[in-house]
Amino acid sequence: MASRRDDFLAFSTALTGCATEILDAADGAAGYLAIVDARTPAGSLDALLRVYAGQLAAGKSPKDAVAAILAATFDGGWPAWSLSAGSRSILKLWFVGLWIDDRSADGQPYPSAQAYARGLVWLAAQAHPVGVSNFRFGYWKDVPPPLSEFVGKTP
Amino acid sequence: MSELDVVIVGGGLCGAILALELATAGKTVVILEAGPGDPSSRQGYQRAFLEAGIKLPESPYPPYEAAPDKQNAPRATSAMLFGWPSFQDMLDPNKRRIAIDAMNWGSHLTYDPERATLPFMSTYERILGGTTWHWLGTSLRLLPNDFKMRSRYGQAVDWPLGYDDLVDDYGRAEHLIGVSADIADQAYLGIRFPPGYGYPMPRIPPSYSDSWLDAAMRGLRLPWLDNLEPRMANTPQGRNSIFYDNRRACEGNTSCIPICPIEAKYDATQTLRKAVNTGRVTIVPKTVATRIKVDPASGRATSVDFTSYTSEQGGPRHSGTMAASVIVVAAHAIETARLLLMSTSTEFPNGVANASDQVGRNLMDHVVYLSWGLAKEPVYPFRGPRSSGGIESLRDGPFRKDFAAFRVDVGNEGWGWADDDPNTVTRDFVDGTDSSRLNPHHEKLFGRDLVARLNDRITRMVRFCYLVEQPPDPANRVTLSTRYKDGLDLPRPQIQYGVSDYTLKGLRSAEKATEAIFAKAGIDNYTRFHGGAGYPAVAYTDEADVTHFYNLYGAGHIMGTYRMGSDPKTSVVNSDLQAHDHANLFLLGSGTFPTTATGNPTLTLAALTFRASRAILKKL
Repeated sequence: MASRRDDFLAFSTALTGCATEILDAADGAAGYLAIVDARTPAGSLDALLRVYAGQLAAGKSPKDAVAAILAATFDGGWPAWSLSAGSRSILKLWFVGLWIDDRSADGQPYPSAQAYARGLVWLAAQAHPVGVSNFRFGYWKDVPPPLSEFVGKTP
Repeated sequence: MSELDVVIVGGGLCGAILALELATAGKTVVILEAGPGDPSSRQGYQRAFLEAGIKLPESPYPPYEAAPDKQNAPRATSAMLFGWPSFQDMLDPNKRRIAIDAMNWGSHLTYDPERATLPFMSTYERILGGTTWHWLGTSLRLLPNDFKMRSRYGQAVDWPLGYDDLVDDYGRAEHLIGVSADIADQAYLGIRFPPGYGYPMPRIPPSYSDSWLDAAMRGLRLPWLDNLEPRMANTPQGRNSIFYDNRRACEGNTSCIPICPIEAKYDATQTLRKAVNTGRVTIVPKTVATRIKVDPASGRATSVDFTSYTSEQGGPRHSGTMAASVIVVAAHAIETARLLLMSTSTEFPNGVANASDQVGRNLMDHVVYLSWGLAKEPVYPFRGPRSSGGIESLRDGPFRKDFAAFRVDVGNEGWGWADDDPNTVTRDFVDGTDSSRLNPHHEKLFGRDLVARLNDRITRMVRFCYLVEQPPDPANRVTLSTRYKDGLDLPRPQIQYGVSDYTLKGLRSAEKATEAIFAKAGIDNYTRFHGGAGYPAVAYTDEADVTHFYNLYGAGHIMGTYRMGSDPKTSVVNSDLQAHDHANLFLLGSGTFPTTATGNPTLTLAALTFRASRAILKKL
């Protein structure tokens, strides 16, 4: 039986377009899951994941299911939390490591150094987080490896 | 004679080099450092940087809050500029006064709200190691003509020494810092090297984007710059290309500003460790020099009054006096001037070393014009040192009779500085906004489409930082605030600052260079003017009566506040950095620079320190 963490990872894979093993590297999913739980009303993430699972059960592809959620198809019900806006906050969290919603202040600190360093945007740029390089001397003179080596393959 | 040979105020690069030179010659030295000593680990600073929401040069370093009225050793930060009035509000005396008054409370550097036109935009650290913690590592030599602005171009003043006087000390500085460069790349515009000379390490390879750019703009000539050709040059860098001086080679973290996490980039703590290991250098951290005392009869500097503290704000403190045969102040261009101006007495009502009334005047920076664009193909930024190359070929020519020259630092960090990327563009393509102007159709993307779009945009980002000359102007100055004090009850600096037509024309020249280079290279120009609060700005009306608006930024190159010269009436120190007024007082650092020149100042101020060390040894 899939765990809540697995459900979050599956949803996040469709949301971000990055392979599950990339998202879960160094247990990144657990860290981000904790941030989502801390920043959202109790039960709202579970409601989002139930809606996503329901769409898959109804025969939608992961991409179409996420598209329906982001299109605000399911907003306005319970919880009183916009599933579309919330999903976009989760998407931004995965990409830049910050929780950004209507109430967050510009310049807020990162939840942790790890949250910053795991931002997927650095991988989308075929680069590395500024300040956290796993490369070696001189790598910058050449074209980087292909994008797929950074973000992995998704179904 | 005092038991102690030399007391140095300030544990930055100049203080470190001087301490090591003197101690190696058997002299005893005490360094008074205003800020804290070494952190428990470099990782502590690194963590503060990674967690900072806005990643500024000062982000890793204490103090972390803007409370200059309470802190015992506050310093200027970029964040303090966020309160600077908008361009429109600056035109309204009431709004300007209210905004600047409000800003002054939280800014170590304060301003007269009635007279201020621009803030001073560069910052510095008050911690052991000084501002080298967040220097870029650029280790350029100045050009021979940089020393001769008056005699060559009829502008500003000449230095009291020339390139040839410094050439051997440049070599010493390059070996102490550990500069990676190739002589074949660096011998341009009159720069010469002694026979047999070599840099200590091979050059850092140019980034992919450096090489791409050089090829893309090949053949371009700039008519208003004496038809010079812009060419990329490999930057001599104070970061290791091989294992050197017990430090490893650069791994391209792209965070040289504000911190190198692996210590591949040089900073002054490395020299300070060697100085302390001689057994003849003592560092006293968290100790602020409050006054230089001078014997009125002999004119000799006798001692330094200081206050030591224990915590960032408040806490126990004690005061004392330290006497030495030679007194050296190396506290960077603003704090050194502040200390001299605070050192008033009946005999020296203008402060110490200030018979010329030049202390605090001629405050200068390289005024930055920032431009950014999107290349026609990927150039892969956010990789390598923050900068590995620049355009040096435009630094000199007869045009300097009429307007300011510049060098161009070409970034490897995309639009990180220019537009807070990659965050801004990511938010745009997730939320359907267009802050970056890269999402004019307000697309809201997710999944692979988002990855592909971000990849396409971010990998094509290009950033130019023009470092434009600023001539000395006695009205640009550091004085002491009569209203604002720090946590030790010492007056905070008050700044009066502006830019002249010479620099404004140089900014326009920079803008034109961007237009020409981007057009030639097929780079779409995304440079834009911010008129809002926190973006200092100027307007310039050209010969065709067209008005141009520019945001200005600091280069971090604080210069000029106790300039060197041959004439004691118009300068503060001589070419040995010895105060004209006091034979045993030496003032180090870029505060001695008579002009900004066209190169980043660190290598030159290091070279000058070697020169001063010989003069100081003759006094002992």
